[in-house]
Amino acid sequence: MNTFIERVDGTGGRSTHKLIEEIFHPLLKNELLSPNDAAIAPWNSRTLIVTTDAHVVEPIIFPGGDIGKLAVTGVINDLLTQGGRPLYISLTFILDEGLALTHLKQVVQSISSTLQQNSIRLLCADTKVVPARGQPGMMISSTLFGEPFNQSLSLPGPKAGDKLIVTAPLGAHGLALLSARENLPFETSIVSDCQSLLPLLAPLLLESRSLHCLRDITRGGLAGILHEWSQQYRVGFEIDETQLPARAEVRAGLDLLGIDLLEVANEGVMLMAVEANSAQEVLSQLRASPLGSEATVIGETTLLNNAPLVMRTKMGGKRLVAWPEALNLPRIC
Amino acid sequence: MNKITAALEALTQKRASFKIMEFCGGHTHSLVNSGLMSLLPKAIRMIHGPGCPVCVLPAHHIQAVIDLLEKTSNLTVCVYGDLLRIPTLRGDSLLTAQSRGKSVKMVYSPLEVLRLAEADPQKEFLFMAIGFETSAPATATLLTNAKARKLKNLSVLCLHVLTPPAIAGVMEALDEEQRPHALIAPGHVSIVTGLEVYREFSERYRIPIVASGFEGSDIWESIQIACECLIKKEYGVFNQYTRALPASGNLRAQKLLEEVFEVRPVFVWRGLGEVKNSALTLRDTWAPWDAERRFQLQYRDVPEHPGCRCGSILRGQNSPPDCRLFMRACTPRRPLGSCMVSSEGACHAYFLLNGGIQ
Repeated sequence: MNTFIERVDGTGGRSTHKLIEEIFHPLLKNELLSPNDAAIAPWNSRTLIVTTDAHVVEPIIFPGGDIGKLAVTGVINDLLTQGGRPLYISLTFILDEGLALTHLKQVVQSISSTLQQNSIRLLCADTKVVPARGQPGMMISSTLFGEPFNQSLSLPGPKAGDKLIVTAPLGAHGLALLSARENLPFETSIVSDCQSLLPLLAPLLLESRSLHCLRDITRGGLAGILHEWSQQYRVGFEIDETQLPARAEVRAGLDLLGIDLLEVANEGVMLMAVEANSAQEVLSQLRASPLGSEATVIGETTLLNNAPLVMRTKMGGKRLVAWPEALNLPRIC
Repeated sequence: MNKITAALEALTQKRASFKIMEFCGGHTHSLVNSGLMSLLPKAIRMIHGPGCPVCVLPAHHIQAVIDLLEKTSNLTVCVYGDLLRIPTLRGDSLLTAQSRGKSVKMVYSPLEVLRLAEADPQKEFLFMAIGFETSAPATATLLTNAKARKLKNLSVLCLHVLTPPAIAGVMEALDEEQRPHALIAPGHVSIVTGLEVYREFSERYRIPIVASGFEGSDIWESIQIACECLIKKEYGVFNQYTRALPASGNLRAQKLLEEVFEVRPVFVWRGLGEVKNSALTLRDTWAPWDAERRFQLQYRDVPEHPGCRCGSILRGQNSPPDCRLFMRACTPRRPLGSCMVSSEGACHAYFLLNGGIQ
């Protein structure tokens, strides 16, 4: 391991995983600490579901959203992955000296409306200001508390044979941020998919017993998450390149930059492992909602043979998909 | 059986072995990513060539730039993303220099450097220009703009290399029986240079050379063209990439290159060693913007990792799994040789082929 933190350690790929295993776990691990995006804890004979996340996005206002909206929708989607209905939120704001008040107001306005739309109440908050470091921005840390939608819902993890469903096209958020940050002159405006998936998933989480696992496809992208699942649940996955949903302009933009669709972060796309028999039913339920109108079955869970993640390519060949290792650095030509 | 495999199998009934080199790293990447590699019959063996600009660049250039950053406080170095991870002395790289607070900026186009330099006249900007004939015209455009706008705080470290001498370099580095039977030539380079540059090599080595596009289906078609030629014992230069590639190339770009650059008498390539007339440098009229002259760069020896087989992989003599560091000590996270750095490098492509299982 290196002697200091590098940017790549925060990308959610294998390096982040290693950092957690080597530095945090030895001292902080306990039987309740969750390997998932949200934790379930017993609380006065009821069940508490909690998640926490820090948002450090640059720029803080981007096409399709801003850091305020993201700080709320991000934790909502994380809570949903453990079947949690969001109730209360706590927020910490770390503001850079020099941040324009108009920007701060815009961010707070989005927080307010996103909380309202999702019926979440703010319980406590803190604000700190840190000395200027380049372009003034802000960071927000949010912690969301909730309860199970359905006491009998258990999410046992993906099982061999399960279908994999993604709820919306991939790649828009990552590319929107990259083009805003780097001022890439794309002629179409690519907009982040940053959104709360509560309206889409609430009905499913209330009823469906066929959901085996859920994950918000953020940092690390689809490839990173399937590799994490593979390691956590000892299963493999096979996905079909022709079924991966993405808008043509997003695909073209990523291709131009040499960035892999499978490795890009999203902020409003859920990955689900669903019992094969019920996959069609779940799919039609998802498609009935505007947030899930492009939901697609992209592959299936397999036994863990040699490869954690295999992709059937458009040409009919196969290749293995690696655990994203490094920063998304564009190729030169 | 898959249709693609079936079509290629049919060709292998007519000749026992086909050894085809795809020169360009973009093709290596696409061969693996498209799944085409998994569809090739055993009798068709692909050899991966040296056409990856990051892979063939000796690390002493990067080290010299890191050294320059250490002693020049107002300097920003602008690079294409791939260069950031090339390992130099004691595991250093431009990326770790950036972590230490040095000003290293990743750019997508050389014209971004122009904007940066104009916006911040107090600072010095150095652009590390790498790549084959494909990316050289963009560097030339940066230079003509810098000259027209009389920018004094911008310079270019020109490390552009040329495809035709590298083809000769790789063929000469191999014994006759090791040489590929056919060559797939880079479509994007050819869009600039045109097809005639390949004629002399096709004739000298009696091999078919097929300029190819970059989709899996393009490469499949190019392999078929090459195989059919070999079956008929023919050679020549062929254009698979007709939808984008005019035989004469891009005359405007050729003129621009001629105006800005001249050929270096000799350039050291990783894997191929010294290759005559194989790289570009700025003409004297562009001296004020030439980083080599402006900063008098000091080059230190950057030894390769003793176990690294990049050299023989770049010559097509070895395949990445032949290297004992491959996927053990050398991974995309901690590359020891630059063939693992770029997604166009053969080692990185094979890493993907194997799914990063360690």
